[in-house]
Amino acid sequence: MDNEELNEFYEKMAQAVVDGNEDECIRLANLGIEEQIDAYDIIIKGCAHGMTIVSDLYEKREMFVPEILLSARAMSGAVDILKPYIKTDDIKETGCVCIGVVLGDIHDIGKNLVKLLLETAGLRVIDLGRDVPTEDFIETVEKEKVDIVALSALMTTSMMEMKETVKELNEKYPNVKTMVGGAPVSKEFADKIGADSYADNASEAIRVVQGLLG
Amino acid sequence: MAKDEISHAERIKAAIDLKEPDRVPVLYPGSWAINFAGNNLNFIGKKEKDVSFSEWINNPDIFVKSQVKGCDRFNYDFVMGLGYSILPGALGCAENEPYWGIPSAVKTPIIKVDDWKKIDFPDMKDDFVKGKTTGKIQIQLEILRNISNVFEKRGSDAPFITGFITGPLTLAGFLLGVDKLMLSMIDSPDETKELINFCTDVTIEYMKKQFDAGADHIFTPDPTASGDLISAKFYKEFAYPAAQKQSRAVSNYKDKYAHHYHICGNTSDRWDLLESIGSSFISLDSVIDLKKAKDKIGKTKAIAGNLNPSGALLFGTETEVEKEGKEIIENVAPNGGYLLWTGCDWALDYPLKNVEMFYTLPKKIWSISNLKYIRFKVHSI
Ligand code: B12
Ligand SMILES: [Zn+2]
Repeated sequence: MDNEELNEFYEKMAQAVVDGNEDECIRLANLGIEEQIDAYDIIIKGCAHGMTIVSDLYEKREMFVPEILLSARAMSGAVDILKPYIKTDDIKETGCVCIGVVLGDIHDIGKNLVKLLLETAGLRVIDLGRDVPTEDFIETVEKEKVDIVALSALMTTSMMEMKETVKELNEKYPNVKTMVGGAPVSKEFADKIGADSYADNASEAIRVVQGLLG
Repeated sequence: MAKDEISHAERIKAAIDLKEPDRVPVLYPGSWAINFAGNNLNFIGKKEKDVSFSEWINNPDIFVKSQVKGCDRFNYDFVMGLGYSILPGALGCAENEPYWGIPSAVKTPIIKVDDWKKIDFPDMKDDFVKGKTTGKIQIQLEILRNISNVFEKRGSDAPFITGFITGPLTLAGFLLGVDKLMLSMIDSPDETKELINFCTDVTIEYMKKQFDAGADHIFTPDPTASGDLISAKFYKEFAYPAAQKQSRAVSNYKDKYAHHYHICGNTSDRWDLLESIGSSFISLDSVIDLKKAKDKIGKTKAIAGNLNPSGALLFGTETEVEKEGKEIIENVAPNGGYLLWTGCDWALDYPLKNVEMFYTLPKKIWSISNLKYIRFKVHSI
């Protein structure tokens, strides 16, 4: 395939993701392998690009959560096929994010979206789920090589928990970066509680993470 | 406190009938009411509390006392019965009850969408034995009975006693998990509608019990039908018919003043649907412009709202609360059909001063003596 054909191929994959068309995603993934296109490139330039479009369409209220989850499922269909073909030196550059919804909060739809996009962007993501106490974040940072801890909060009560978690992480692991988000969380709040960064939505989270990893 | 000229019920009914009452009716302080429990008012902003959240919601005595104390202090027009995941628990969701926070469902009882057929219709017996009963249905019904007894005994003007049922989609989300519910709307719409219908039927039976126990009114929030989760198209297909069925059942069983419907988030693309659900009024979230909502549907439907529950009330000063509330009231209260509230449930940690300000708003800004002033202002813009 020449460059133009390649780009067209990535576009098609992205579109299949946006459409939530799992069959098409799988077909394209198999075709890509057959044509010996780099599996990592297909994921990043095709699938992840598609998910970024999805996230932007959500912000514009043109797609909603059911459609997003459909896209995510379609994308997984492709990623499952492509994963075994990824060359190991492709992933060594990327970092590791530990993500979770803070204690007392079970709103995990937004967190799941952020996780999804980070994963498709090639990062290793450790998902601690929802209603996660500070100790669990600390324990994970202790055990794993975590670069960034990403915290989500959707309620004002849990924003207070977020503050505690960030404080403790900053004290114990000043080298590990923190990123916070969730509907009521703002840039000002992030600054106030001493978090290293804030992102308003899932596609921005990718950019922020890439910035943090330098 | 000076006696009002008309009763709480008359004031509420006037607003629902799209008239201008003597002052704007105002709702209860949601979950913040826990600060009236025991000695909690002295513990605002502190980590330790006199009464924990789980003590509050599991002890009718403590709960009822706190609600009555709140009414006595602020004289709001509605009083709240228990409003926390009553039916999810009764249908088999495992729950976690934090020391200071809203309980959360930690385990869903069903795996596949049509597994609801295996769930037993909950036991809605209304017996309550102090120190023994742990079922939330029984606790809730005891609370409603006791609140209505308190006001009956006093022979004083009672606020609208408000029961609670989870909205149909939200209940379905508790049973199946929200992610699965969202996908099943696409994968198997018919089965999903059956699940939602089952949830609706359970809520309807439970609603009747609450009216029998003394409720005047039912609050049905459906956050999972929120404008931030599903499109207007899906709302119309999945949430709307269920909400309509629920609402019709409420007004048939009680009356046309008995139903407060709420969904969260940006709902501006579905106000026409909300208008025709059949509820007495709808409350809208703080992310939308209430004036626009009033212009669009206010001729036929009373609306409530919409101070930001995580804005000035939580982080701001009294002056900021006053400013935010004043603007909303001045924009939306003229010509009636308006009730004052926040855009959603209250956080537990608002400073007392901000809450005090919230409850002086209706008296300060919207009273008969101020009416002319506001009319003049509105018309001269
Ligand atoms: C769906 C929902 C629920 C569902 C949650 C299902 C689930 N599994 O998540 C259910 C019905 C279970 C629920 C329960 C409750 N809810 Co609710 N819920 C919502 C609702 C309507 C939507 C949230 C959502 O999923 N949005 C869609 C996602 C995609 O958006 P998002 O989460 O904001 O995520 C985006 C960004 O914020 C960002 N992001 C998110 N996380 C992170 C993390 C990082 C690191 C970064 C960088 C970015 C990022 O990226 C995402 C994509 O762009 C909101 C209203 C609202 N408008 O937010 C209320 C809301 C969050 N709920 C609220 C309340 C009060 C409750 C309850 C307490 C209700 C009750 N009284 O029982 C319980 C809470 C139980 C508990 N302990 O947690 C309030 C909180 C109010 C407050 N001031 O604290 C809200 C805000 C409603 C309101 N308007 O007031 N709820
Ligand atoms: Zn809400």
